[in-house]
Amino acid sequence: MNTSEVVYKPVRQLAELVRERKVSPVELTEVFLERLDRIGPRYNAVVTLMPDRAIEEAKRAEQELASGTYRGPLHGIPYGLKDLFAAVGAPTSWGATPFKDQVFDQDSTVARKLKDAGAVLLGKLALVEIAGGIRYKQPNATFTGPGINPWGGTTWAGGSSSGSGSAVSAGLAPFAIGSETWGSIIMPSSNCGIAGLRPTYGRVSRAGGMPLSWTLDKPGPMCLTADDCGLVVEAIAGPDSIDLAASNRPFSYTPESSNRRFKLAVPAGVTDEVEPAVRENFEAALSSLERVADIEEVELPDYPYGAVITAIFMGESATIYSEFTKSGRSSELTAPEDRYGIYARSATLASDYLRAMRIRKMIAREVDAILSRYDALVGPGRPGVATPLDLDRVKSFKERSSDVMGALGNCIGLPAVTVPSSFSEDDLPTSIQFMGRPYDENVILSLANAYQSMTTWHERHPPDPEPIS
Amino acid sequence: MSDTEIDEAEIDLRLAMLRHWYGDLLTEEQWAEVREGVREELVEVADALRAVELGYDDEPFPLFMPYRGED
Repeated sequence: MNTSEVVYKPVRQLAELVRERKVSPVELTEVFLERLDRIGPRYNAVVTLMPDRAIEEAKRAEQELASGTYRGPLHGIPYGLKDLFAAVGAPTSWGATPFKDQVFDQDSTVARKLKDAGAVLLGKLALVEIAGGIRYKQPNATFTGPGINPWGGTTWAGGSSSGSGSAVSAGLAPFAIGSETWGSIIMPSSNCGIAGLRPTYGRVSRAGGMPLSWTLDKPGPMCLTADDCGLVVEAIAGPDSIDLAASNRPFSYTPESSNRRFKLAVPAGVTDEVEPAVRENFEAALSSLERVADIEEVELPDYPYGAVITAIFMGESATIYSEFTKSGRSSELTAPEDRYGIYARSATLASDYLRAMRIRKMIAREVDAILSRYDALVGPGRPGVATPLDLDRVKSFKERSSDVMGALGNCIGLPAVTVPSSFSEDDLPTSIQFMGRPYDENVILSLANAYQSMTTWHERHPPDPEPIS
Repeated sequence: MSDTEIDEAEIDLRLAMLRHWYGDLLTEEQWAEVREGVREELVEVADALRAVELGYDDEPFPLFMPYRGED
């Protein structure tokens, strides 16, 4: 097998090669283990490689395939797991020195479901410490070093799922699992020029993942294409007796054909505060989408989305980390601002938290009434391209509120998928996102598939630091 | 966030509670930063939330479900 035949192949194509036994899961695993080991450190993408578990799982897949057992499109496909999900065989560091040696004795539900689907766990990928949930202001906020963007070695991979973004972007893993509380899948996917799906809240079990905010945390896939995100989310979705928020609604990935016209809404003012390249590429993307969709502008209700999600986030994370706060161990964190940033939220008032939860319900009802008239809202994935690594100002919670689709979507648990929409003058990816009604992953993935079928941005890859042999 | 004037006394009251609990864990320089966190992440946020009108019947999403294990 030639490495160049499998690196940067979407999961759907790799799955065919594996199913037809043209590619061996063991060989495939060896290719990506080697790349993660050799190239991963250049991007600070890896926390722990898991070669023993990976080879064992790959051998099992190979034996099953040889005996005629086929578990589906992830069977024998290697992947990386954000190091806030537990997996037997490696510590689960949450990206943070105080938890660096933490070991769990069972897999997170996401890892277990992927194992059941026959996927092969390569290792644990880097993230911003405590999933960026403290108060970090610069990319150097984890013990593995700042996440470096394969598209520009002096720019940030984004956070908090930094390693998941850079590993997929650089062809170090066919897909990865990230998680989002507020931006942590969409942002690194956008920065790194890959597809990222933030599922509906509760679509994917959070069990065995680091809790940051109980009603906001959402695991999800990060892949080369939106279509691959569909294949992966089908494998990890579903009810879970140990996560009461996990939805009982069944999910199978059934993308729609492009026979019908979609109906899209662009939130008014969504490009008011974005960078020129993002605006220009977004407008070009809308022109492409007009071939398959009717598009109109829509006014979103006037609510303080950023304040609502911030109050919920602060209240929940304060109580989750109350013992950690009291222990003083935040002094061991990497970013100086994270060492004190967790304290303020301990003074969240219950009445403020509950007020936010009441407004959240009003927002959910009003926005759903609007969304019911459309297939999805569409907007830029992020307001800008990847920022320089030495920038000392990652946007604060307050500043992030200007990203209305991010604040609104996470606040009320809406699914969103982002895919690349071209590049800036500096050759950094820009992106577009589709955000749908709760549980409408198939609709937004169909839209993203339609867009990717008309464009080739996802077929461009960053220069390999060492040529693929 | 709303543009109303932020209540500095509310910031100081919340900060006093934090200092009572965690006073010896941080330096004075860090406490000055925590005060900014209280302003931005709590008091400005609360101010924006209080500007939204709510009726008596506007309940939060249910947070509690009675639980019954298997019989």
